[in-house]
Amino acid sequence: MNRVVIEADNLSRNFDKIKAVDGVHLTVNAGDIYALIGPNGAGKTTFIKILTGLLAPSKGIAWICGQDIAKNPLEAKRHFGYVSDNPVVYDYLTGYEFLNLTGAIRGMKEKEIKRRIEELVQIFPLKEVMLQKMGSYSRGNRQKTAFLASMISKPELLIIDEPIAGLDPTSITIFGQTLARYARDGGTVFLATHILSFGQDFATRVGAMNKGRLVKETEVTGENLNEIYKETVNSK
Amino acid sequence: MSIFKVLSDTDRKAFKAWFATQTLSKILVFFGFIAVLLGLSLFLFYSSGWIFTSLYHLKNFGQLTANYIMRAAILFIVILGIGSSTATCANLFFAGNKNYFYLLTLPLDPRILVRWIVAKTIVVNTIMLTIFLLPLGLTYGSIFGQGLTGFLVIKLGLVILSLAVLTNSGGGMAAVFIAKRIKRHKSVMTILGVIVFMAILVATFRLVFPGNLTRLTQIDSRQFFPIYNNLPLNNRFIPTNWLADMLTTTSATNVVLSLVFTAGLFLVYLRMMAGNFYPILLSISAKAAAPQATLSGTIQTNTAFHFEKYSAADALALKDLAAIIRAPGESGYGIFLILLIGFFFYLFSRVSIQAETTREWTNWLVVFAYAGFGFFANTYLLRMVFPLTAKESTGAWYIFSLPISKNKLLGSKMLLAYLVSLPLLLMALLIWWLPPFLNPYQNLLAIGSFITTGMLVAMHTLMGAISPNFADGDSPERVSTSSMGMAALVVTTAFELLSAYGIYSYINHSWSFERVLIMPAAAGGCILLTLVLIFRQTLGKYQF
Repeated sequence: MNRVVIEADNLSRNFDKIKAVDGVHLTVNAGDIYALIGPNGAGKTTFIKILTGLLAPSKGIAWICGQDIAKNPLEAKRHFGYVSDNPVVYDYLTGYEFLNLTGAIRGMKEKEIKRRIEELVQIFPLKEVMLQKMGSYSRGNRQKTAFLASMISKPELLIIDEPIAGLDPTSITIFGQTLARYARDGGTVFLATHILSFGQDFATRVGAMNKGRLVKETEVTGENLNEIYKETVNSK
Repeated sequence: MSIFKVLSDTDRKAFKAWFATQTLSKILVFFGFIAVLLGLSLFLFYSSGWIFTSLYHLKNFGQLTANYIMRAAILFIVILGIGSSTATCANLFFAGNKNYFYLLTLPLDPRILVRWIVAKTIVVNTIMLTIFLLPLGLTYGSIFGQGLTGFLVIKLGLVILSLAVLTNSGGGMAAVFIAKRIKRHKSVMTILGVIVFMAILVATFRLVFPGNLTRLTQIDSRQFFPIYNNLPLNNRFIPTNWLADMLTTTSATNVVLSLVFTAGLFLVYLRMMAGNFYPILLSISAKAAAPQATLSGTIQTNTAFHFEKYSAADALALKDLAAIIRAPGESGYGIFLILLIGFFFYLFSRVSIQAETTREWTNWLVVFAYAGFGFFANTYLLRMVFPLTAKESTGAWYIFSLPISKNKLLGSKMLLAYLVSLPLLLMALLIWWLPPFLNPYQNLLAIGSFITTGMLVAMHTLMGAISPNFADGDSPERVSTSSMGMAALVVTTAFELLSAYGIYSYINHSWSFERVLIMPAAAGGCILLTLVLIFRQTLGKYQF
């Protein structure tokens, strides 16, 4: 039986009278690339924020690698790397400084950080860009740098909100291949995306959200995500 | 609809939108600011009235002294105004307002936008100058002139408007000059700019108070005029004197000279801005985005901060230090305030040397100096330390998704707060040796202000972390003036007042040395403990 990496039990979050996330049950196993799809305002980002401990749930529990994110946030956060849908971080730091900082905060040793950065900067052709302050980065380069930072400590789980927004086609392919390799090596990916083709090409499982509810969950085995998306949008 | 109407509507909407959040605290701050300005204006009105009335009895000598005061006041106003306009205009270039880039994509003559920006700053300058100059002008005119007549009001209005245009033009031209040459090394230039400005301020002070000024009180009338006429400030080629003389004399020459000089400068400034505004904006934004090639053609690594060598909390503190060092506005503001404290005590020491003081008067000066230092320290801390947590800003998601406890995060902020406050703490220890009249109390003042400042640093850090205003984190001024900022100001001011009261009680022999130190330290300890408890209660409540 596969190890459970993410488990959400009746997870809900209300903003005044609006149910942004409404009683979601969800399980993600090790090695999965799980894509959460759904229209704008479906509750994907809110759900991810609850998983990462940035928002407290109104109801329900979320476990990350067996740790309750609300009760043991530090333990849970050691297991995942996260990239926000708005990957703006520290404009005054260079990309290299940002990766070094992330490594230091994650408690890595100096040599380990340097070795890991050497590996990570091979993923995208970013070597020169990373020498510049992040304030001068394009949206795509910010996204890539934040992605590399999320991978620095080789976490068991990557949680990425809108992973390919702002990326060029070549970078999208590299990104997808990197995630696939990461999952093959035993990592787990949980992402929210609008780009159905990306989910179709790289996800192993998909969950469709609308109006805060998880409407459908399925394996990606040739099934057309466009159909699932249309079904989701039309769901009551 | 005219383009000016569109621009004014846009500004009005932006102002309303700013007031839409934290409205109550912003209204309180707004009215508080107005109250302070009005209070200052009334203080100037009554104090200048008192001084001019006492000078009036000295007949001709009194009037000459009053004229000298008016010349000095206008010179100081012009220097401060040009400094402030330079900073505002330079910030306009370096901050790179996105709206200006958007307007560039529209079929809009850049000169119209430049005129709009200039007009707005002149209006603001006029309001600020009115607050400072109106009371002086009114008291001077009513005591030495023809009384409060319409003619006096017109003359005053003309002088204030000329000063607003003059300071705006001078500052704007200086900013264009600086921005055209410095597109990258903003930090170094900001610091240099602040130092140059303070040097000009000290030079102006020496111009207004030269060594032979005190001799005027010790000589007879025959010797008075040669010395008075040769005072450096009385040089007739100083343009600010033409403006001052518009109020103090009836000579039409001064009016013509002032207006021609001001109008000439303004036209040159308008031309300079119209031709340089967008080229400078675009050039600065292009430079910011371009790779930084060195002379040898290699790329600069820009890795001055080696976070990988530090523990998590130290790396976080270092990251915030990088934010301050690499933001010229931040470091410049900090240095400016530190230099201002130095300048304040420099003036203070000179005044004390020349005054024939009684014991009671000296005691008041001691308390005033102590409270004055506390005031500057609080201003510094509210601006530099209080916003430290909120400055995580839109990137707060990153830090709060990492496995670092909020206590550790607070620890890193505390560490940085003391690093940033190091110049202030050093000043708290050393500055009391500057004014000689503080002689018997120097040790007490040094220990007292060191302990008080140290506690203020912790208070500001904690209060800034209790309910951080991440939404406005990119603008430390807004964070400082938020409702929590105001609460911090109230708490820390109350603590400072208690500390100053201790000093007052000691020099009046009602408190012992130990009590002066223990009482504020105990009160500060209680405040800090309460703040820690509140912080622990709010630990889990950050939401993004």
